Amino acid sequence: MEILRCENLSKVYGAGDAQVKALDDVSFSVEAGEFVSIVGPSGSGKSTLLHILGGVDKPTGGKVFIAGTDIHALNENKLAVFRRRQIGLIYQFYNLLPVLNVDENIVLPHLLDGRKMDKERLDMVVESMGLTERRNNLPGQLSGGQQQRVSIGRALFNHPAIVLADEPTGNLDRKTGVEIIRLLKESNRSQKQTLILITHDEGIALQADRMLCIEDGRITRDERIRMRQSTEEASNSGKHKDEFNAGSKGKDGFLPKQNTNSRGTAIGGDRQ
Amino acid sequence: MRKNIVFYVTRQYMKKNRRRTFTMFAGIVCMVLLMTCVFVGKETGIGYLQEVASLKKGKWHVSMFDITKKQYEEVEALTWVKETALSKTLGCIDFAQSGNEERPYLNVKGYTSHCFDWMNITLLEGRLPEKPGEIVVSESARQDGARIAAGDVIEADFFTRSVTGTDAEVKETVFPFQQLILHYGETVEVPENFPYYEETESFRENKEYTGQQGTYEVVGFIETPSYEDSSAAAYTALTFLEADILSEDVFNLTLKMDLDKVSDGYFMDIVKIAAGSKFDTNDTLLAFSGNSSEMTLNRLVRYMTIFFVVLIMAASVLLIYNVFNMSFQERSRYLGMLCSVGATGRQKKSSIFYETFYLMLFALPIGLGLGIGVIYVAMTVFRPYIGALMNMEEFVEACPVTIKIVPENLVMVAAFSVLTAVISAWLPARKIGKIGPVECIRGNVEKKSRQYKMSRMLYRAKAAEGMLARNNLTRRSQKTRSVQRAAAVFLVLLIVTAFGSSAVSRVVTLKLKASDFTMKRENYDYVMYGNDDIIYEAVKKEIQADPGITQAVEWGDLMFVGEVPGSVYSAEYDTARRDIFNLYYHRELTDEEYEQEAPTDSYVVNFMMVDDETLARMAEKTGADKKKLLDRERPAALVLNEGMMSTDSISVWEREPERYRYYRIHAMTDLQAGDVIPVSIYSPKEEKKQVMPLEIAGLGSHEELKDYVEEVGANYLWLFVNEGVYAQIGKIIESETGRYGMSDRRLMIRTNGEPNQLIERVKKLQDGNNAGVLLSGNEARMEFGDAIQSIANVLLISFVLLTSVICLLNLFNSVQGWMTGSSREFAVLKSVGMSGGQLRKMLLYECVGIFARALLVAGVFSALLIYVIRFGFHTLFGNIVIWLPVGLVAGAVVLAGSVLVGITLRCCAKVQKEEILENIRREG
Repeated sequence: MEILRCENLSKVYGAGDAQVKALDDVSFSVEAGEFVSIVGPSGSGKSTLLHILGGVDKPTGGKVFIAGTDIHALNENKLAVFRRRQIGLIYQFYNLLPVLNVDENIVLPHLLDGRKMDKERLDMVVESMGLTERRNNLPGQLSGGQQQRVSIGRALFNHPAIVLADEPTGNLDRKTGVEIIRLLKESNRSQKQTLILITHDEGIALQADRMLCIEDGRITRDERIRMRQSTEEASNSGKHKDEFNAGSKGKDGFLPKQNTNSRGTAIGGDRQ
Repeated sequence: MRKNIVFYVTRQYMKKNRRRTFTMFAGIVCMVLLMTCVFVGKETGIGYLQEVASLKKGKWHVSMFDITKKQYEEVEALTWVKETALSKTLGCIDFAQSGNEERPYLNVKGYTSHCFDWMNITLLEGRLPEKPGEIVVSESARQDGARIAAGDVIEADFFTRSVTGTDAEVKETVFPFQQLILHYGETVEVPENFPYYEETESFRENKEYTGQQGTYEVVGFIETPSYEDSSAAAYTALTFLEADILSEDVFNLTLKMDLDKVSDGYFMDIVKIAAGSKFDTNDTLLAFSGNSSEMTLNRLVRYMTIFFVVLIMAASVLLIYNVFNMSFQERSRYLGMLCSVGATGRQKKSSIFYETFYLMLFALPIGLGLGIGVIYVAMTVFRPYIGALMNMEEFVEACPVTIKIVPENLVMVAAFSVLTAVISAWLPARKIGKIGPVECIRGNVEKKSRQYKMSRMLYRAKAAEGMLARNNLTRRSQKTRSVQRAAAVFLVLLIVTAFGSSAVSRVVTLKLKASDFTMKRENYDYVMYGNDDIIYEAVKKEIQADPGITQAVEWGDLMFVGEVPGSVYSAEYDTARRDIFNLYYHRELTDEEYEQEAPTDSYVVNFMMVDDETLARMAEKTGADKKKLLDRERPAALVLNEGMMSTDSISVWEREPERYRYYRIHAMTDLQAGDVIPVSIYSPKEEKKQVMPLEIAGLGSHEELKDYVEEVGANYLWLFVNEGVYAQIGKIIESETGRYGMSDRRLMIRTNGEPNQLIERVKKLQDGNNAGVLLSGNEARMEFGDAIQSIANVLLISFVLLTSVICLLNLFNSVQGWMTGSSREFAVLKSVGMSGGQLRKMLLYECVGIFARALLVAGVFSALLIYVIRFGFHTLFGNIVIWLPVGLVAGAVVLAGSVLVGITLRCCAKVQKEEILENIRREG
């Protein structure tokens, strides 16, 4: 099922001689549960594309449909509501609210939606992100990896239609980066969470189901790396899923409790 | 040229942050502008008022008449006398060229050179006399058709004028405007302004030639001097007086004071030297010259100057400090970088001072220029208003506005501006100087390691917006601290100024109307006073019968007719009275001395009769026994138990008090309702005192009687009685020639609002000189005190408005800094789905929190400042009651809150227009 479709997207900065085409007639679609990586050199338009897909930037031309909704046709308020419910954004520099603790940052989109606090889900997310001990800390008191985990927790908390990650490991050391990717992959596999990730790291890009290459604002390559596993396959294939189910006591599926640190090396090895 | 790299970087930083630099620059300009308004404005304003006042009477300060050489030498020896000029009235001469038969004389005066200037002698034609044989003549003579021109010669044979009573049947002839009473057979010398009367039935005018003769050449014509009375028999003519006048018996002396040296005691110096000779002070001019018998006014000007300077400095310090503080992180980063390559703490500090003084360099001349412009515009705009207030419209029109720039004042402006800048920059400079390079670059100077729990309750109550706002305020309060500070300063400014204005206004009221006791008459359209009992009664009857009159009630007062034993007055009253005597004697009087100077065995009480209806209402307000109070047979009274006393309301002959002091008497008497006051009333018929026992039906305070009695108070007990008791007292004090003491009746009249013929008739009746009644409308009568008070109020309001500009700038800048500093967070919030409405709501919650804190801080500081102001006023003037103008304060709070919310929402709207991505990327 198609969850995202963009048609003839273009984005132009400046005017006249100083005009720069960040995106030039970009069209593609993404299936639900797909993990897509976007690669390309600096300034190729990756981040611009991601931000347009996330509704935080506006295209000069073209359309973006997420779950059948033309998001740029929505007014400011409807787009904000759409973002909080359907889109999870992960930034390279985390962009956490410095005045909110870990819990509050994670539940922020949920709270903005005015919904009743889902404590069980919060506990689960916090636990799966390995942040149980740090949940009352402010972002300034966390390491980069921890902050990025909070950011992932925030992006996933509301079960968004699509998670967009803009170089989530760009600001982290290799080991922490691997850990972050593992968390994202797990959410993609266990939750059928559609994931679009920008990276400079080919190793990370190759872990996706599909890879898009962008150069000078155009998609130059759209390559399927592996066939996506069906839900059944996914649930039977990985040890992680079993562990997660055990950890989540049969409730809403999520990531395993403590694989992050203990299995970091093994996962890295897997990736290789 | 060697470049100072720290200063260079600072300049670059200033260029980069243009908006912030501009705000600070604007703040400094505002500060200099306001300082200029205070110092140059004060000088210009007072100078202008002096000019106007001097047009009225002249530029002299004191004139002494008919003094001797010895007295003159004593005056010259006084340290505070700056210059003296001499004059002499030479006497009258016949003026054959006169064109007005009622003005057949010239009144010739001799002036030494200064006098021509000091007496506002304006030459219209020719020149002023330069030697004794020359004369200038008042233009009024030519206007009346005198056949005279420059170059004409007048032969003078001087004489003095007098009148003799010639009609045996006329006991006395009164000349009210000349304050002259002539009895039959008596010969009295007449003053200069005496009109020309041909022989009348009752008196005869005499000329007595002095034997002094001379020939005078008319060398010019002068504008009619202000002292020349148009009804006088003589026109003014002035001749030159040589210094050999000192050898003559008596002459007039006019002096100007050295205002820097003159003290409160100058008046007594004059009294001593004059020793019975007449003297005159140019009070209006002295009042504006910073020295007058009204020394409190001068103090007031001084306090207002201090008040304004402190206010401006405080507002400016906070503005500059806030600007520095807001940019602290950013600034500490570039200074940290400089530090990491070897810049010392001192160099870092110098960067802050450099920025301040760099801006000051340009702001100072601009502020001065703008300040002078503001003064000019304000003076031009207020000029007619000042004229109307002072009843000096014609002089104001004749006097153009000139800006008075005294170098000392410019130095003061510069000095206070520099001092303010140094104070404002010192704290941030000190803070920045102390921080190490790594902390500076990381920008984690104030990191805490506290843990914070999520408040689900708050979320449930106030949703995400409330929770976010609370977290913003509690977890990173430094971010909103500058806004909080700016709002607090704004509040403090408004609250303290409201209180200060109230205090100043109160002092002026008490000072200028100290001994007034008046009943409130706002509810009535007219008040009719009676000069002649027969006419008064006749008119009263007419008025009471007129259908256009809806109410006509009679009130009356009896002053200084009753005496009571000293024990009736309270100990508080006696202590205050004694303090005042001590002030007059400049030392503590012994019991014996006090008893001798101010006997305490009996004190005066005054009576006020009001109509039964009003008296009943007053009884209700005070809880007095209405039945007793309205009983016409058994004397009872309602006592106004609050009063006041001051060195103005009590004076001691030929003594000047050490300083002004006001005493508010909370309880004039310690007696209670039901007690009896034994009032002794002098009966002229029986030539002895009669005792009237007067029961106290109740006691009332000013607050309780505020609808009936003006608050200014009285320094004797006032007893409110009914018409019956008033009549009983009236009978006692009556004699064949009138009443003993001061009694006054008045008819309080309320009309139906329609034009009333009877009222018009009564008004016409009083146009004559011998009106039996006097009708006074309820229109505002502007007195000198009211004018001073209005000017003080206008000044206060103007300065509050101008200082508010600094505060608003500060608040605007702080809010803008807050918004700019939060723009990335707002973008993040929006990126995770916060709507515009939610953002506004969150900011409103934050505004409420910030304002509540600001209110708390402002409350504490305002209370402290109010205490200081109150203490200052109490120390300087006495225990004056100064109310906190609650309405104004509430208004100030609402205004400050609205301004904060308004600016925040405006800035929020601006931030919302910005691209989310741009802001997210800003620091990422």
